[in-house]
Amino acid sequence: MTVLLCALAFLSLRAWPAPPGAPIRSQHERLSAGTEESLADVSEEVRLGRDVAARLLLRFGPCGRPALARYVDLVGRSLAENSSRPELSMHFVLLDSEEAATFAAPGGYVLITRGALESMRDEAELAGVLAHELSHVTRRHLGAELDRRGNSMERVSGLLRLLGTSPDAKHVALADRAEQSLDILLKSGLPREAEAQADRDAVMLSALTGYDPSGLQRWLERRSGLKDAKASALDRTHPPVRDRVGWIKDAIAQNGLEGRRLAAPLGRFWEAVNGPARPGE
Amino acid sequence: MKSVIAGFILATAGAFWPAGLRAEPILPWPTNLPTPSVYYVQSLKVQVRSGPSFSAPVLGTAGRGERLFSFSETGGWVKVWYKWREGYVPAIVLAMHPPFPKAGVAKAATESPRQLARRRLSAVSATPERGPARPDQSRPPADEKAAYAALERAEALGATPEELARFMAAPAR
Repeated sequence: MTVLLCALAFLSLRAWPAPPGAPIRSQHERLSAGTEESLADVSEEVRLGRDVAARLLLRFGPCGRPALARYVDLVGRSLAENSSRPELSMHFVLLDSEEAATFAAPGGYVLITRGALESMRDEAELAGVLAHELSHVTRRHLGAELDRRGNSMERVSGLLRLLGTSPDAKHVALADRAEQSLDILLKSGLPREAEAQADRDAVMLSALTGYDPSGLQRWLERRSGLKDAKASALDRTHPPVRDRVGWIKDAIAQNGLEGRRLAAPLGRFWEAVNGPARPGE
Repeated sequence: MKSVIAGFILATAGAFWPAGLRAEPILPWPTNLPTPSVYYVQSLKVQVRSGPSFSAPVLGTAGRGERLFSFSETGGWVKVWYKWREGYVPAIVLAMHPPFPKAGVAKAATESPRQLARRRLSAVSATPERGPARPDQSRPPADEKAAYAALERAEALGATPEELARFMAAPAR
């Protein structure tokens, strides 16, 4: 009897966790098998992102204010701690341009101009803008758009097979994708759905990090009132402000964020942008 | 003890039984129940709430890499089982795989085209039997379309993990 009871106990130990775990384990196995492949994809993504970021830096120039660049990096990386891509080392780069513009390059590169920063009023606005770009990075919006245009990794791989796998051949394929990426970022922009998703994500990411989720909305509304706003690449490549404000307001309402008091730090933002206040000011 | 060993042998004997004669496993998972999806927390930490809203009470905090079982998703929130209760987590911080490591990615991806060209040149100089390098191989190509040096300087300006921890812990002012 004891033998039978022990046999039953062992069988139940084997059988009980197995059925609910079976799909989980198979999913886990599939993911484990795909991990190396996924990491190789991520490496390619980072390589492309570095190339795009370096091209944008050449176009706009780096901003020579290390303290301000470090502050932007701190705000961006505190948001990135709540992102869904911990495998990416996020870099927030400050560009030297008076034009208000922000860019998301693949692989963790977010670039923002000095002009955009100087048109903001507090840290929550900066966080909202960076969170929007961070969403483009984590959701691989640029990569999806390149694939949609036919410059997919499969095509690049085919090209590499034709040219051989020398560093030069890889460089040519990478440069091709980087040029198209720049065209999207500076001229045609991402699809409307991607922008709507990034605005909704910006609300969530800001709230998760403890920032006022309406920061992006406030900045967009104020910028839309400026006379020269239409000249900016930001407006050429993004949907109309009225639509974007609508998406943001919907996200705030749907996620129970209306009327909630979250941080919009002013002091350290002004210190970073304008330098420490002098006595008597 | 003998009974335990005998029971173990009896229980595992089925594994060596011819496949055609093997019976259906006992205690099967009911087929009418939905299969749970498994999610892993990707953010540093996330509050699990009792409803799909930031205004819902907080049930607890889940950390990076924590596994959560879910049966449904609603409006950007994933309904999960958390400490034997129903909870909600923003979908934006979850993925269906454990968090990937950072180091392997960074190492594989930090070589610029210039560095690649240098590496190729060093390989050329290490094989004198191939003869002298062609004129076009004599120096790394000057990539006039990208500012890699400026990017490296900008990357170096980034805050250290300690500075980031201090910044995140500091009260907003």
